[in-house]
Amino acid sequence: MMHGAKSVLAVVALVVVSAGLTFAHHGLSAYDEKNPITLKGTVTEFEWSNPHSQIYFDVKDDKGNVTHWACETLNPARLLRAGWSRHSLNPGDQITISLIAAKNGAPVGFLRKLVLADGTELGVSQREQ
Amino acid sequence: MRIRFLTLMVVMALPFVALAQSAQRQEEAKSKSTDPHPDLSGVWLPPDPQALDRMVGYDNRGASDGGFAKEISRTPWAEAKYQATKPGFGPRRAPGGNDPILRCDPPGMPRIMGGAFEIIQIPGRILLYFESDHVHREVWMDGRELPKDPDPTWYGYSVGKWDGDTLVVDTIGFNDKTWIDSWGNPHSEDMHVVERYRRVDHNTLELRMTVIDPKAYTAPLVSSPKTFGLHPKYELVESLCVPEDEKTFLDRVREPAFEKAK
Repeated sequence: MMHGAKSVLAVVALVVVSAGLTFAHHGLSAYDEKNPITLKGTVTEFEWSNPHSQIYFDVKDDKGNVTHWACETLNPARLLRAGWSRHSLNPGDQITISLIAAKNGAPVGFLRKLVLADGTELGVSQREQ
Repeated sequence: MRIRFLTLMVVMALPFVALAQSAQRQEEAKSKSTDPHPDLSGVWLPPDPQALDRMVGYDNRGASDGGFAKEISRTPWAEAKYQATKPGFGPRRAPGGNDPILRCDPPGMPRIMGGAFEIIQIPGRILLYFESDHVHREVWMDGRELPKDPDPTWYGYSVGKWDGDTLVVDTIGFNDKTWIDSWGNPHSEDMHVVERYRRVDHNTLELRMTVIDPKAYTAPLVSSPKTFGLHPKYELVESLCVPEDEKTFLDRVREPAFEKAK
């Protein structure tokens, strides 16, 4: 089911994941860093916490099967510097999310960037303070 | 009549005299603040790592991310400890691992020097406040010597002095529970860290670090220069590593990602 959801909805992103993500606390070797995927989903939970914020969302495939994804991202301090707030995501929000997924096939990933329904883009690059 | 004229002249000249005196005072104040010691106070942020990696051959991550690795020559004592570390970064990186910071242990020195921090200069001391873990270090600037037999601590005991426009900080008194970088390089309780801070321009602070630890390394380890940008409007955020939060994260995100594919 999960692989079905991936193959139907995943689009290989054009962005190459750089080693720049190595500021992640744990390292990223559990993830397929070279092949980011893009998914469309509905936010179920946004955990604004240190040292890793987390985005949980549901992805429905064309047969109606739902896969529940977990995506880790930066801590609040770094997200604030990238233009986020703790209100940036709310349950029910439709998102297009680009992430690097777990190599073992689990629906888990590390955020590259996401786009909200209104076109707002949220990434992990620091903005000018 | 003549007296009245003179008085008039004096009255007219007064504002100019006052102005000249005020300019002189400002000049004095300015020279007082820049001489003999620079003021490094302010919030300093590391460059965006995303942008950083586009800068070929430049390793600003330095000590916190293996910046020492190229020249490292470990003693047998350190080599044995190194082989027991399982880092998340560098040539031996693997999922999971035993990096102490994953238990929310303090990153210690010199790893703490990779993130956002604020310098506060007050008489006799320079305070470094870190966003990470909301910890601070204090650097004694009153001319005291390093203690002879300090209790081992996570961040050690620091004294500083000025070498021209460069702040030189000596720190000893560390415990050996931390790694010096995210590649798993260890250190002993004998580690001595020398930091050299220099403001290369108003908005840029450069830091060079040297780790001297003969029990662990056959030669001093010199970091690549790390630069930090001045961000006067940025307020440091409370960024505590809380074991409970870390456990929730591991259970919900990392463990599923580590599990062998079924």
